[in-house]
Order: sequence, then C-alpha cells, then structure tokens
Amino acid sequence: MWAISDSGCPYLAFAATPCRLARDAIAPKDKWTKQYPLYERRFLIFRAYNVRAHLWDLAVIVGGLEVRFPNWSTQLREGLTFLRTGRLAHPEVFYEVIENPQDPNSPYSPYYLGYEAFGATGFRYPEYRESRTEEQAREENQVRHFMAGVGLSYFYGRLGEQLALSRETPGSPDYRLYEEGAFPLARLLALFAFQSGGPPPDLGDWIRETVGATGGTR
Amino acid sequence: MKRSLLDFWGRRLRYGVYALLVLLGLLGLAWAVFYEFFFRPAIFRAVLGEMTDVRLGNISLEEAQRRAPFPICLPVWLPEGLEGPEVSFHSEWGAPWVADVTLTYRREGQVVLQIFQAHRQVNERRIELTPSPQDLQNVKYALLEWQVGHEEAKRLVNQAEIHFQEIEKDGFRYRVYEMFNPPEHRATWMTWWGLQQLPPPYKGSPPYGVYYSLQTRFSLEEAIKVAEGLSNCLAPLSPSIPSSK
Repeated sequence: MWAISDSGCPYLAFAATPCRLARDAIAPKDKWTKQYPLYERRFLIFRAYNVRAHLWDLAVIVGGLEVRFPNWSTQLREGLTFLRTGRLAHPEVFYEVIENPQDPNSPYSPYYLGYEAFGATGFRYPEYRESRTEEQAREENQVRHFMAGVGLSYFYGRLGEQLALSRETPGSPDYRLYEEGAFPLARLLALFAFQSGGPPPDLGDWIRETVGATGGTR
Repeated sequence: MKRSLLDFWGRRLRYGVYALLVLLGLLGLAWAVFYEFFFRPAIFRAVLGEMTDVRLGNISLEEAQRRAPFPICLPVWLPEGLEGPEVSFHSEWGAPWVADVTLTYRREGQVVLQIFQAHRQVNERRIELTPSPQDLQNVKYALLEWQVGHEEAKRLVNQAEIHFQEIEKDGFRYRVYEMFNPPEHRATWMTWWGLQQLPPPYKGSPPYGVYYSLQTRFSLEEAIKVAEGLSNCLAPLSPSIPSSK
C-alpha cells in the first residue's frame, strides 16, 4: 500500500499525502513536463497523445495561423449579428492574435522568432521552394507555410485548404507545397489519429520522401 | 371522463413536444447550413484576406520607392538597346520589412537582364557557404528554365556545365555562377551584399542589409560592369515599420 515515489514522497495509492501536495505546490508543472512528453497525458494504464493540441500549437507558433473559432455562444451571437447586418460585431474574437500582427516585437506576431527562424533548407527545388542555393534557402519561410497548411487543413478541412490555396499562384512552390505536402500530411494525421489516438509512425520518413530535397535519402 | 380528458391533453402535449423537436431540428439544420456555407467562409475571408503578401507587377519606380524600406539602386551603365526597367515589388505579410524589388530589362521583347534587390537579414554564416553540387545543379536548372521553360530545362540540365567563382572588387564580394554550356543558353547569375549600413527595421532587430542578385544573358564582363554600376540609389520613401509599443 505504501511506497516511495521517484520524487522522494511516500504515497498511499489514490491518496494525496501532505508531501505530494507540498511537492505539487512547489513545482506543479514538473509533474507533467518532467515525466511525459509535452502532449501526452496518462491516466492509470491509459495513455493519450493529444495530436490536436500539438498541431494547433505548431500551426500558431511556427505557421503563424491566426484564425480561431471561439465558444458556441459567441459564435451564435456573432452569427446572428452577421445574418442581420452582414457584418461581425466583434471580429477580433476570431483572431488568434488580437494585437497588431505586424509588430515584430509582440510575442503574438507570427514573426516574433524572426522571419528566418526556420528557413527552407531541406525542401526540394524547384518543386517546393524558390531559392536555388542553401545560401538563399535560409532566408525563406517554407517551414512556416508548411505548418500553416497542415493546421488549416487539419482544423478547417476543405474550406481551410481552399482559402490557403486562394492566396497563392497555381503551380508556384507555395501552392504545390500546400497541395502535395501539407494537406496530404494533415489528412494522414487526421485519419491515423482518429483510428489510434496518436500520430502515425515514420512520419519523418514520409515528409522527407514527399517534400525533401534529397528525395528520401539522408 | 377524467381519463379521456387526460388522454386528450396527454396527446396534445406529446404532439406539442414532437412539433418542438421538429422545429428545433429545423433550426439546427438551418444553423448548420448557414454556419458551414456562409459564416465560416466569411470569417476566413475576413481573416485571411488581410494576411496576403503584397505582390505588385509593372509599377512605377516612385511606387516601389514608396513601398520598399531600402534604397533601390539603378545601374549607371547598361549595354545598348535595352527596354525597361519593368519594376515589380513584393513584401511579406506580417513582416513588411522583408521586401524586394525586381528590375527587368528586355531586348527585342526577350528578358535579358533581371536585377533583384532584397532587404534581408545579414548572416555571416550564410555568406561563407560554398555551393554544394546540388546547389550548382539547381542554378543550372534555374538559368535554363529562365530561358527555355521547365520541360526543356529538365532535358538540358544534365548536359549543362557551370562554373562558380568568387570575385572580390572594391569591397564587394560577388558570387558568380557562369553557365557556359550549352553555348546558345549561356547565362550568368551573381549575388552579393550591399555595403550600405541600413537602420534596423524595428527595435531590437538583427542587422539587415540589401542582398543583390543579377541574372543575365550578357557576358561575364558585362554582368560585372552592370553590377559595379549599381550606384544610382533612390532613398526610400516608405512609412516607418510598426515597432514595439
């Protein structure tokens, strides 16, 4: 019944001892971040990997995705206003970023980490990037395009895909990256996560073979 | 008597509940149709409409000067018989300081010279990079594709030959890719960084400079002469980029 936990607290199964309470009060986050991967949650023998949360964070932080849908009551209220007047009363509730997104010093800016934070090296030329050389590829932002495309497709389906494509020229590297790389990956993730609750294995290999500069070889 | 009255009201109540459920269902259906086909697309249009890069073609030099956050330089020397320049401008949504201007010159309707000037983060590590075999292959393809289109370029790229060299002159370091074979598609692509000290585009930004790239069908000597003569620089008239609050 009693045992010593890895943090040094004796614990009684299913009970909160004063030592455990004190430990959690001091560093409550450690409990999650130290022992498990960030997006994994465990309960008894069950384990769930939160693909949705992981993708959302990547799409917002890396991809700069800014659209979001608030709770149902807000949407209903805004929807009725939209029906009545053809305009939204509070458009800002649909933005993930509510501060000025053009402000590079705002942590909400898509380029807070710098425009060149992720580059485009590794993507195949000329299919998926415009830059001819490594030197140039470091100043592109294809990783961002890719993650935004995955997020739009995963969370908003065909509508998100069409709206992403509508901003690009058909046949351009950005357009092809969405259509041939990001959207298929999102569909693959959605299908596999639906079946198994987790991301598919060997995803890195799929990405490397599909959009990688070396076509699958390391 | 009492029982039949109860039956009567009970039936009415039941039908009332059914009617209410049907009404709610219809309302739900109407909302779903409205939400899926009108409301969500409207939200996306509103949000993504604002998130588009600025891409302008065939604009005046003044317009480019007004938009670009860096001085646009024009060549003081050009071979004779050129038409242009056609000016195009591009800047990134969310990062308007990442902008570029392209000057295109034609001879008898055919593009023979493109000068690309871009406001980019200066990164010493990047300048030191030696082109890999894959880079050289990519440059060959790009120069061929520029002249003969995608299909023909794919066919010719493996036969093509290219030479890379670095030329240091007057403080500039030109990285020159000269495709000499096939001779009928001979072309040069060269890149270099400007020496001008530009003010940081926003508070706390890394150093930014002007990155030049020149693509031409002229000889190497003429290409270098054009590059050296890029000294007629027009000061930017751009509004200041939003900075930290």
